[in-house]
Amino acid sequence: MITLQDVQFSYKKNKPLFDHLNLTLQPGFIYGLLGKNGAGKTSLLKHIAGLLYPDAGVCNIFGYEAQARNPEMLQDIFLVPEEFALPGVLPASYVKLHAPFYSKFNYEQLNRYLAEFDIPTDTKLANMSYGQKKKFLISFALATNARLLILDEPTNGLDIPSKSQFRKIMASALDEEKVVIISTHQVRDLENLIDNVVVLEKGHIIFNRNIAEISERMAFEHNLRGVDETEILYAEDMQGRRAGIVKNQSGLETRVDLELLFNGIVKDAAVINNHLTY
Amino acid sequence: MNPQFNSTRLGYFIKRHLYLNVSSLWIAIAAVVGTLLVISALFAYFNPGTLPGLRNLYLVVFFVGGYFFTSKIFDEMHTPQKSYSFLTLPVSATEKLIGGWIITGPVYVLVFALFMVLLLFISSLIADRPEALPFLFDSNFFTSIKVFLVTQTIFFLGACSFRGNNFLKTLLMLFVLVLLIGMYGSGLAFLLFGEGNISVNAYPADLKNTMEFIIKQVIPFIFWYLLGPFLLLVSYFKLKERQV
Repeated sequence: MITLQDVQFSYKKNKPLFDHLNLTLQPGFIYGLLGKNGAGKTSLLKHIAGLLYPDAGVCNIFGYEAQARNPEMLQDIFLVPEEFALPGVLPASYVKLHAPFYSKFNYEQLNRYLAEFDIPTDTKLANMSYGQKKKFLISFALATNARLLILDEPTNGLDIPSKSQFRKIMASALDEEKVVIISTHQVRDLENLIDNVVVLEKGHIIFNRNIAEISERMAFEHNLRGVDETEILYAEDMQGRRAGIVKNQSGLETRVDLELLFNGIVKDAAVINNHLTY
Repeated sequence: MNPQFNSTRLGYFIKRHLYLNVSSLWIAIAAVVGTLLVISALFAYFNPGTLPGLRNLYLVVFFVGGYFFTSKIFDEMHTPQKSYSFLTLPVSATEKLIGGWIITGPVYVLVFALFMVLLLFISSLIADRPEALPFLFDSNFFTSIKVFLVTQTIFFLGACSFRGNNFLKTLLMLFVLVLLIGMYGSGLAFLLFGEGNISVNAYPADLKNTMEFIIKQVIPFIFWYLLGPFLLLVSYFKLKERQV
């Protein structure tokens, strides 16, 4: 389990980024971390990976304090950052040099992912395109079988077929021991993939709910004409129409529109949270 | 398994570090050895009596090159797009410290010494003085190696601390430190002895003995046995507390 308790952090004095932030992530789920630009998504991921230390509070990763960067904890974490550089070596050399650090590394899995992503094996990593590098790093990350996988904007730079391959691979790689955190602005890429939606805003986690729960209690309408105003939880203009989130009275699961959900949460998280709670 | 130190993991770390930097290392070795070979051949041919001078030239290159190499050992940690990989690699700060020191200390000394033997051997053959070769590795040579192993820890700390231009920043730090110590020493001497000539013989014998004890016993002890381990300890904390 991953627990962040009363985490406080600021880059500048008197301008806190996290103010008593609390978050608990359970194994067996894919979490989608959403937030506006500058909300601190990447900083939060860095705290979880032990790359940034909180000014106060605790980041506990599978029983280890993240900032201690214990090698046994690091074996169980893999971070795929948004921007990264890979060395000028062949994929096989990279694997030979890095795989021994991960006790659960699976070479067969790696080869399967590389084949699925169509990664060339005879090109040096530094000479690959950004998308190819990203797909290689995602494949390597999955093959480490780390219990915590942190992906920061993983679909940036991926072409359309690769995005669907990514969703397929991620869904198949999850098991009951693993936690996957995906931070992205491209919420449409996460649809049908994530199990939980986490929204970070003004230094706090303002929303942390399961997709099944959301789809059971709320419906996402792209045309609100004729809908009773008391049923509407959030509304916005969408290409001349009124779209929004309404109460789901049927009890049947509906398709979650992450973009509408995110906008609704950012506008008034209390309304959405209250509806889901009561 | 000890979570903080594991020799297998240390081996993997050293292997990874050397392999990822192998092309830069070969280029640096080829450039330095090539230049020294040309200089050595010219000197040995035109002035065969200069073999000891060549040895000293190699030692100067050995020191400067070693400090520069040490300063760059943690470059990966200071490169924004690579630091995540270095810091999240399942290796403890102890192993990173020991691995980095082994590469820049013993491994560097061994590799440079081998090339030095080769260069001096070639030079002695050109000078037609093969009998001079063993005398070039005298006690001064080995003292120089020991001095290097102590002083390179200063640059090792610089490699852990500064986020860019580590070599130049360490040099600047050394310069400022020496300047401050010099100013403090001069001020203290002025307060103790005034404007007159300073001669410990003019003062009571116990002061003279104390000064002699400090200069002959304490300072060498600090230099040879405390300075290196202390700077490596500080480097350890720098590595452990490093954030992106």
